[in-house]
Amino acid sequence: MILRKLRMKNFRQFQGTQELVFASDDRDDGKKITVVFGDNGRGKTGIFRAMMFCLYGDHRLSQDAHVEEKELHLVNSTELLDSASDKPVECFVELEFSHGGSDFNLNRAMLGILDGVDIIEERGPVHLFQRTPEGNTKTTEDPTEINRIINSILDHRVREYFLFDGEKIERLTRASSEQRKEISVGLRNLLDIDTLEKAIKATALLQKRLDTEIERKSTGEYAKILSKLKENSERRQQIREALEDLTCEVELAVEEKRKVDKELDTIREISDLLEKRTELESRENELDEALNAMLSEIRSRTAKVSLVLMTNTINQVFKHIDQRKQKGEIPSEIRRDLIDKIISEARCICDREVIEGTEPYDAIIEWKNRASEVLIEDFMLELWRLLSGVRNHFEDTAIGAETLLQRYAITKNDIEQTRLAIKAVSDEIGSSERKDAGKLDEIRGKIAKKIIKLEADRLNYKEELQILEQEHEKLVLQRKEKEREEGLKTELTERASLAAESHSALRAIHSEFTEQIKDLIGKSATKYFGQLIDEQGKGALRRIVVNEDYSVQILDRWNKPFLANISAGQRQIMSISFIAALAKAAAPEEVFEMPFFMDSPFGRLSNEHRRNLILNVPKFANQWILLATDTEFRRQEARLMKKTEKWGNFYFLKGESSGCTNIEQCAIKDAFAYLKDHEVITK
Amino acid sequence: MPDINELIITRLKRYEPEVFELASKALSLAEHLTEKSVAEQLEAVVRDLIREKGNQK
Repeated sequence: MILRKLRMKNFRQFQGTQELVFASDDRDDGKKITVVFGDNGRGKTGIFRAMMFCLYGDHRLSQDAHVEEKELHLVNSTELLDSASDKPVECFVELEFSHGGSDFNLNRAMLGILDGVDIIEERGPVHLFQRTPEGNTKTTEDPTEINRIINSILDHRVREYFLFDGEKIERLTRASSEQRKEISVGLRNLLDIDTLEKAIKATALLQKRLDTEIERKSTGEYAKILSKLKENSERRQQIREALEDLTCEVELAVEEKRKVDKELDTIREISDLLEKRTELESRENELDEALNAMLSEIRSRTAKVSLVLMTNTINQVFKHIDQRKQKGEIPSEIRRDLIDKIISEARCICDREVIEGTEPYDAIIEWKNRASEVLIEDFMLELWRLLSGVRNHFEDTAIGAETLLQRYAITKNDIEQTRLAIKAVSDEIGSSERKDAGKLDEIRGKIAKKIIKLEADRLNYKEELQILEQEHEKLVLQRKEKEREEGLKTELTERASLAAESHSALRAIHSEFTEQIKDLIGKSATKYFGQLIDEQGKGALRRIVVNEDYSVQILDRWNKPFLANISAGQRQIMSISFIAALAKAAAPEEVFEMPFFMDSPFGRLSNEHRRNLILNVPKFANQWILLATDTEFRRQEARLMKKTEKWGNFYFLKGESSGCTNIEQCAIKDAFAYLKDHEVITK
Repeated sequence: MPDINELIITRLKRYEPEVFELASKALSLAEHLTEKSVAEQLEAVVRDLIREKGNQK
């Protein structure tokens, strides 16, 4: 399928009729890349939605799972508001594409009407016009027939392999068992294996009918052999079906167990975080207690510590008294009260008369001036004694106070850090709820037992089937022997024999063919993966293999399954490689006839992966359509794309004040004006 | 890859001509019909093939 043109009328954001023309290898001089560029909300996904609506009649995309039906409208709401209330608005999507040499034009319509504030939408007609390579034309209007034709070109079950959202593409490698079964049918259809499978079933049915007819016409020993053969065939069929169911059940149980394990892992993760938070909270309490103790100590030391503030004054007072004491001024050589007595009695203690104006008198006065009051002296001496004691503790008190304050500051800081750590852990825990891990463990145990039982049943069935197959071979020989002995070879038995041989032949071819095709897809996917993956991935990841149900696995350098451990970006690269390999396998004569239609192509990819994609996808795809935003498609990507010389068209989705979007086509050289130049991608 | 059915047909050539005929027919009918319809149409094909084989003898 090569996409040519998409025309939309009043579809989603696109009011009026607007169109996109897609570049393709075969018609545009080797140009095969179309970029549709626009900010979020401008209608990129609207274009993706238009494709899905037109091809398959999809009203909803897989990403709309949580959107209510009444909230999702396809008809442009501005056009509805502008129109008369009783007049329906026509909306359609028309897609022109080519496939297998034929050109197709598919048009699917929808009608919308405003009923008060409600929008009512009804499906309109659908037309498919086809022009064959010989020039014959055909128009189909039957929706069922149109669906059949479209599905024969691109099976709806694998549509998301070729028309996909880059952000969600890795889901293709994470499908549930049931989804994988569906995808497997779609892939077998894409690879045309479904026809072979149908032929196998039809020949089995033919064989059964013929055997029933022979049995009905037979008697005696021969009839008994035929009856046994019939029973054997029926039982083998039952076992095959049971084995298929069991395989499915085992897969479901394994998946269920994986889910429980994942939940348990999450709980364990939360549990670790909760434990960490409890530890931190306990630490916070301890620190709080320590801080309170320090505060009490600080309060209790306030009186003592305040003295430290007077250190200089106290030292000066002490020094002064001490100096006077050392000079002998304190205590005075002669007490002042004694001098006063001598002066008043005018007689010295040596009984000599002391007369004013004489030398001894002056000496006594000088003594008096030097002598202090007895009380003051006593106080000063007491002060000197006290201060000399206090001064010895100053240093200890100051150091103690400083250490205490430092400890206080450190503890306070520790509390702050602990609180920040608690907040970080709480944020990490987020809104996740802690579930009952014990109960989950119990469920896990039950599932594990169920898996063991199912595996045992499967083994028993396989053994029984082996025995029945041996028995069947013997019965076939007995039947032939009997026919030979009794001359029972009739036209009917020959018909049954031919039907059986044809059935076996088709089965054998199916078996060898599916093995070959899986091997081929695996090898091609590995080759593409090698071109697209970054250097680091190349070192760690070795090979892509296709499983029995066409799901994919990636093996590491030791050939061990590694899918569960790769990143979202690597998954996207792996999915693209698988899709490319599928398209190659499905294409006749090596013509790669599938578009790569990617919404948000680079969102999850690092610079190296983007570069590899831009340089390599155009080498193997003959059409690449990208719906990208400014953070995905920057000047550096555009420059690289331009270098490939494969970039054909560029469209800009321009938002209007009405909320609608206009599609504007620009020349590639002018595209750079719309793009930004980010140097770093935040991944 | 060439057309899958062509590949199958090539491989069927390894078998007896009648087996090749019946299986090829089953394959071509399976492209458009349900397995039940294919089985019904094959009843006539197998009958003709055996009769033709008988006539040749």
